[in-house]
Amino acid sequence: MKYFERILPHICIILSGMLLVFFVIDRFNQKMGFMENEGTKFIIFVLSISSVITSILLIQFQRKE
Amino acid sequence: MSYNAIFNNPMNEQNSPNQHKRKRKTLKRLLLTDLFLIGLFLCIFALFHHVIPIRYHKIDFEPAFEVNSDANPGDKFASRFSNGETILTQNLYRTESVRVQLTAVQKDGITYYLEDIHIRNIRDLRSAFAEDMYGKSVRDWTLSIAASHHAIAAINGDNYGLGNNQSAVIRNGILFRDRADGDVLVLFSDGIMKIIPEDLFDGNKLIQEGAYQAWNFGPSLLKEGKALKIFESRINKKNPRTAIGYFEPGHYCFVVVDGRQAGYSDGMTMVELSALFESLGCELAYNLDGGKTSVMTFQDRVVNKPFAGGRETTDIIYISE
Repeated sequence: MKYFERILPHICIILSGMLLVFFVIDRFNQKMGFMENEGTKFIIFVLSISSVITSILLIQFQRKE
Repeated sequence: MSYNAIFNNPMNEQNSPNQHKRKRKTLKRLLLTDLFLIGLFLCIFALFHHVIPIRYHKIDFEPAFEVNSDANPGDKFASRFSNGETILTQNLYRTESVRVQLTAVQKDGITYYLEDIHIRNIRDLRSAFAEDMYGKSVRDWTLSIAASHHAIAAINGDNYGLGNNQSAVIRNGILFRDRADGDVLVLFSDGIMKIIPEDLFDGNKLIQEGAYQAWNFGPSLLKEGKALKIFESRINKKNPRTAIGYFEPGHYCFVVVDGRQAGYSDGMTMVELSALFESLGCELAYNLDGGKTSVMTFQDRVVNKPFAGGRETTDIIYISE
């Protein structure tokens, strides 16, 4: 569980970084469909889950303080 | 813990400079690892998105109709064709059923190539997939695909096999993909070309109506033969371009504009390309995949100067007898 808590923020950083790259490329070449791809949708899904869990953990941590 | 609490933590003040240094190093290492992982995962994504070829399944396996060889839309251009002999020069190919005239134009820092095409029968305007395989990321050089199909003249197509897999694909009378992404250019078996809006595209219905080819890249460049002044495309800057024009059944043209090569050719904006087709007298014109992909061939040689040597494509449009 501790390990999971530690890697969650990194998952968020990595997936957000990837989405930022897709977003920029998509501005230049929409035809490549980087933002509409099934893989991208999966990345958004995983990022959302990770973000929610990270946020819950952070709120929990703040309340403990 | 708030940022304030973290950064003003009294414990932090008690930390020795060495501990601070160590923490900073650890943080830097962690961030660099994240950055490395972003790059690694992007590479893996790219590999699956547009490098590894994947074979698709066709919807229909045989053409829904036979192109009627009696109905020759190009018969009215009889004077353009030869009387049976094949006339072949550096920039002309002329037989009794096909005439392709190649012209290179260099003007105002722009170089473009025009293939003026007259065909007696519509089946001579064809499409081909790289490696004759309908699939994702199956690519080959335009010249290589053209040579393997004995093309007289060819241009790169709409690169259907890259990107979002939403584009319409009807090739040589076969419906491969019944979707549309923006306006679709449809060539019917009677030689007429039409632009079909995305919401009206119905592959099966179009096949029944005699759709012979459908290319989906865009945008459409003319409205009732008149040039457009505004394009909502993000790729409206000067670029290498490939486009196809339609005059009337049996009379078409391929245009390839070289670009991104200072001193030789800057490329064209969509507005300039649109104006070019209006000046040629086309009724309809449609933009295909451009940039590095833009390649035109004529009699087994590349006639333009593709940017950075060009790149492979997934399909071509060609003339062959």
